[in-house]
Amino acid sequence: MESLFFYLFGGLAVVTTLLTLSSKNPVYSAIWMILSFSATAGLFVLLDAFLIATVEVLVYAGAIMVLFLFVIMMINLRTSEAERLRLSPLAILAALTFLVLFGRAVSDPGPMLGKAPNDLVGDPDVIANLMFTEYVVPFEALSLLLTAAVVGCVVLSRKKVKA
Amino acid sequence: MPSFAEIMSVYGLEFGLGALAMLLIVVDLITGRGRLTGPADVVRLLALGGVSGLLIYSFMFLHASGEVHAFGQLDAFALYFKRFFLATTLFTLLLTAPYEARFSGGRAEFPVLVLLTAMGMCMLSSVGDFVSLFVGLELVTISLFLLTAWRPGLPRSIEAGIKFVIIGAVAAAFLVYGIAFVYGATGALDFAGVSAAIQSMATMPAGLKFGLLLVLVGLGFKLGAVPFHIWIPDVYQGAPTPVTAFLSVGSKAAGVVLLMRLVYTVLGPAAAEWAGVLGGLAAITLLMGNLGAITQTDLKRFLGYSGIAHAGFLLLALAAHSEASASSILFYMVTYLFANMAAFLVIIVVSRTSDDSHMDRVNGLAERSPFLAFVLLVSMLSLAGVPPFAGFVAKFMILRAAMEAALHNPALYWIVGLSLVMVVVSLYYYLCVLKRVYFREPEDKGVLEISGSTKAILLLCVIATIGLAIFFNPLVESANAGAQSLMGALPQGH
Amino acid sequence: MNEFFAEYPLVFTMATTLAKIVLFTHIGLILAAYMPWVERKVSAWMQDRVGPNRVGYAGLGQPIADALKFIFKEDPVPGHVDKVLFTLAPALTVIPAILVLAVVPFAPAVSLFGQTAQMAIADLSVGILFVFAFSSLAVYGITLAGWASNSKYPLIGGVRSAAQMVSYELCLGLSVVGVFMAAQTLRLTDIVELQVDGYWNMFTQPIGFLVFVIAAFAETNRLPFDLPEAETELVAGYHTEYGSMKFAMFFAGEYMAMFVFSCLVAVLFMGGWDVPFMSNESFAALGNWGAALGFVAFLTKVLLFLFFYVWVRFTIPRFKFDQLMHLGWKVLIPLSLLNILWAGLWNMPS
Repeated sequence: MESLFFYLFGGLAVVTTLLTLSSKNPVYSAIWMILSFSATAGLFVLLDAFLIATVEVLVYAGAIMVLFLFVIMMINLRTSEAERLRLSPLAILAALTFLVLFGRAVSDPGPMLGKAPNDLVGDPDVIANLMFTEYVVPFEALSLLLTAAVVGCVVLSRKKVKA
Repeated sequence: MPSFAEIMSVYGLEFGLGALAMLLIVVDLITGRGRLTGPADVVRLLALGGVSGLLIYSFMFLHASGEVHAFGQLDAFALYFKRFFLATTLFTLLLTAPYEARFSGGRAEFPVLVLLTAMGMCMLSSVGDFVSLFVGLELVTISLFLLTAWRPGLPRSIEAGIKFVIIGAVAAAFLVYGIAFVYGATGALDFAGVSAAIQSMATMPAGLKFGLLLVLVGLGFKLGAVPFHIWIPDVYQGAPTPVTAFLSVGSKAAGVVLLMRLVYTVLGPAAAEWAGVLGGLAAITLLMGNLGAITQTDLKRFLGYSGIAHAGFLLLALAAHSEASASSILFYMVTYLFANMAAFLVIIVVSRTSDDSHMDRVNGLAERSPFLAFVLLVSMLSLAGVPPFAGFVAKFMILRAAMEAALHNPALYWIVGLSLVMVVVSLYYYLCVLKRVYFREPEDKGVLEISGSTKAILLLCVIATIGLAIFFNPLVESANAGAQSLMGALPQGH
Repeated sequence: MNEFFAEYPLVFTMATTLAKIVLFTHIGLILAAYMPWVERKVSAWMQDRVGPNRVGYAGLGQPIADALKFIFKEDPVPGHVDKVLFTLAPALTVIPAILVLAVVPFAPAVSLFGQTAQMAIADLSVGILFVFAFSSLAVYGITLAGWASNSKYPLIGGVRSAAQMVSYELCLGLSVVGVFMAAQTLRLTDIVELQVDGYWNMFTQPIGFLVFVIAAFAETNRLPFDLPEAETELVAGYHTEYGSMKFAMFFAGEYMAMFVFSCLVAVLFMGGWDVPFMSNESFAALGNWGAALGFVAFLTKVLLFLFFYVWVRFTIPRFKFDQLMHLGWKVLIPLSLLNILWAGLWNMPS
């Protein structure tokens, strides 16, 4: 049963991601991407990582993709007239190298394979505790990262100041 | 659970920088209503004062400690780099002063972002786990994205910003993916845990190698190593010049500090396997950087390629993997800081009115301002590694360390040989710039006015560049201490 | 039966879950169907008219008549639209609202055949986040409808809706932070139980409550925030090109969303199934009667809030778009941050 769902969500994620890349229409690309995120969220649910699954939907499918769609609609992109993807031999070589290395990596991922780090991985309490104890430094640094992003965006997007 | 005091003992400087940035926002909010010039000055002075204060504090009151916490450590290595980053930040803020008038807006916010970037950089020198590493690196990168595009009126600045964002995002993706594989193979995210896991393995599983390789790629982007250098020329050219200076020194050093921490601490004894990879990277980086620089006609692009070439030297030192080579990297960074900052400040001055950095701008600079010409001479020759300047000492130290290491690893001889050839090549292109300065006719014969403060900064760089060539001992000693602490910090677990 | 279920608790869980799904979604759907009637009756009452009174007693048959009319109308699909998304969009407005119902606790736990059943379809540990995750998907229906219609008023409506919902989602989320800071859990059942024994969150966190209610109006695109369909300027906004059942779906989606948000207000701020002067023990002492009482209390609160929705609609005029953005970003977000500070101080461990 579980492996059935795994292949269902996994296959969905792969197919929708490919469709995201191949769609000519940017709105459809965005929608396939939303589905791809949702399928990934499904995979997280199968791992009992409910929090991450929910955050995946909330942040990626719910918030980021809305902004994508918003931008696409604002600048009214219709079917893209962009030139077809040109594949340079170097790009193909790089991709193939990556694929081969990836294949080797997956075939021999190391001794930790299949060991769940923690039974309670999906529990918000556990993650909250880690966040405010062990990882409190990066957590606080993140707040400054967001501040930097907000300050910068406001400056870059506001209209020219008349001197 | 770490106590506040423990965290502050390691990340006190970062806290200071972050608090200073927040203070600047508030000050700007209070004083900024309706006026445009006033608050920027107040904010800038506050930023300069604050960073200088922190720098002085770091020299007078901060001491390295051998204590390794789960969230990071303040060893001599970290402290060395924190001071380095603070100095870089101070220079960037000083460089901003003569440039600032060209900003259409966001003058007060500029130092805020510079400070936050500095905070990320300082954090990176202390981090002890991959999560902090990633967050710190993103803090640096995202702030730099924004700083790069700080002149929205200028298409080149926007273009640079967009290219930087896309390539930076790809680099971040590589890094995270790599971290995931490392975690998958070792079950740990903290450096001590990963290192312990690696040492307990007879051979590294392919997944771990793949992960480490991807992490290397992610950091290679920061460092500007070939083939991850493609963003450098365009971004360097398009970014506001103070930001380019910040990028060239700070961002590179951020990559260096992390690579050193990973190679020396996390890989530990297993690093010998990676000497080939690092050496190969060093070789192509040296080759591409130096050959690329020859044909450049834009000063900032030119310095970008020269920066790639310097990254090659740093990678060579990393491949050598000894205490001496680690110490030489630390020394090298400081000489690079002074020479580079001087060069960029000269660019800011000569491009004052036209705001483009084509090499023609320095034609006949010797006639227009002998002082600037002299500064450029010192800076270029130091970057090239010519004897009476600090750059020579730095290159010499790296090559000596590499030669020593080559006794165990003969392949390094080839790379050292290549690097020597490349030093000659680099001498050619640095001299080409100086030829323009001293022998070409200037397009505009007017005398260049330089403000007193600019003169003082340039003088400081020149004195430092010459002084470090003669009195290098104090800095070398402190670099040695840093290298020692890095080598000694092999994990005992916690 | 008791022995059977004791031996196979999974069967019990599956059976009760199925029953809960059928029951709760139908409560929602029926209420959504009757809301237009309520809306018309209340508006008539406020404007001193009679309202619908022809079909059945007091016009109660009106929704059924309307539904039949929608079903038998021709279903027009204009030639210039993007057919796939045009058809998909109405469904996308309804689905997220129904999904959110999955975590809403309707009543205290019920015991049946020696087993207890929580009265929420899925009592997830990430309850609140689940709510936000799926309610944040609701914007796609409207946005895509606007885009797929391929004409200018719907597009403007769609873009407005995206901007509005993203902006108000922020203060919606931030205003709830105080609630789960106080409860120290994201599980909705626990949040309600804490309020049953303590104070309702609307009294301890009045600012958060206010912000949440305002944001709830914006998230459901109700007046005074119905800019995506503002008929005085945009014809009918995002659903200008829609007719027949597709149009009815938008209608149903909007009322479903209203119902869901009323449930959330009741659960998060008004004590859920709590009745004043009752505690968790007194509910437990009453057994299944307690559950029934709680259920009635809960539904009463939901209905009151639905009435409030309608009341506001016929009282407050529509905002301008700049006012909407100003309110969202410069007033509500700082207020909700203030609420977080307040909640932190209020719940400070002594």
